[in-house]
Amino acid sequence: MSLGIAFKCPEGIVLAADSRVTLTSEIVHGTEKVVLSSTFDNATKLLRIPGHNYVGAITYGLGALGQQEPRTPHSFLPEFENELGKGTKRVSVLDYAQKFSSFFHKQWAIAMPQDYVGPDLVFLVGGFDEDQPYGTVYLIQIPSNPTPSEQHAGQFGITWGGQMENTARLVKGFDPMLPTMIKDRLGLSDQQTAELTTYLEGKLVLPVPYQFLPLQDCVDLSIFLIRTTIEIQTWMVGVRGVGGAIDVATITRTEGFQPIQVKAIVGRRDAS
Amino acid sequence: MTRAASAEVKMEPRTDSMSSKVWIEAQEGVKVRALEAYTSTVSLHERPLPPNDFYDLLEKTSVRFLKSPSTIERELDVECQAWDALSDEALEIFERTLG
Repeated sequence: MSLGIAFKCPEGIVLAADSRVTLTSEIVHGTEKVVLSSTFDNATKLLRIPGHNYVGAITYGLGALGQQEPRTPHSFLPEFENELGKGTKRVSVLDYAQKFSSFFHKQWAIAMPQDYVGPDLVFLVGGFDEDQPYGTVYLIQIPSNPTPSEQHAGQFGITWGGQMENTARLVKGFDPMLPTMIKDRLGLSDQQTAELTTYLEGKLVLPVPYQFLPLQDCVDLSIFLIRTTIEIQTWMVGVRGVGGAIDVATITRTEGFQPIQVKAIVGRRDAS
Repeated sequence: MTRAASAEVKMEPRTDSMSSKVWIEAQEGVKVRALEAYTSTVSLHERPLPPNDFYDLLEKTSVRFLKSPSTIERELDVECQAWDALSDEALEIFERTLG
């Protein structure tokens, strides 16, 4: 399920994600069906294309494409890079997001069954356009909404997704399920529920001055939110879909994509 | 099965976002200002203001931002003088190094 964060602040963009991918397998014994979940904690969800230094992405939602032979989105990047072509001049973040969406929508059509029911494959693509003072972040949801949707246009803020409940409780002050629960309990209309949600957000949200935070604070806050979800899930009954290392990168107008903390390939840690 | 274990597990990923505009517009009573805009630049080479003026300045500054001005301990003035002496010494050493 994952937890991914894109933080747009005046000093740059922060992209952060955990490293856990969960594969579920069904084993049929006669009339019994057993569903097993297996977690893999070394997946790469912070995506970077060599040669395109002012843009990057994180992914969450569906952890792998394909049901018989699942593959992570990161494993498709060499094909995406080939499709972009070598020596490609710098394109806008929106153009990049559109190419990204088109490529993965095509992979979805190849790998996923027509009657698939489940989470989307979601990307947050962030970066800087040439000669623009501030970055942009686009949301892509495949297959339900593949058109890139700009986040925080004209302002600054944080976007997060995946197993988002704990982050929502911290940042917004309540679980995402609360407005729906109140709506069902009190028989509210959709408009009343929307008004209630806006009211609750205004009153309970953490007063974080997103437009003020220095880039380092944005990095620290992103890591804190993912780390908190990872740790609190260890005490909960439920899907522990967030785990492994937290990969973080910044993208700035002057330096481009800079890895801040990224897991490395190592040998056996016990040296035996 | 316990109640917690039978709770519905939401599997679909969702995306959410937040910006300052949400709470700034809703919480009109909260005014956020940069403190630096209201204090003068402190020179490391000058002695701090005499104690009476210093506390008077702090009291006037505190009233703008705090519900109740805090009491400043007298030891703060001694500490400020000690820092001033240290900064003078550091400047002398630096000038000798240049020299």
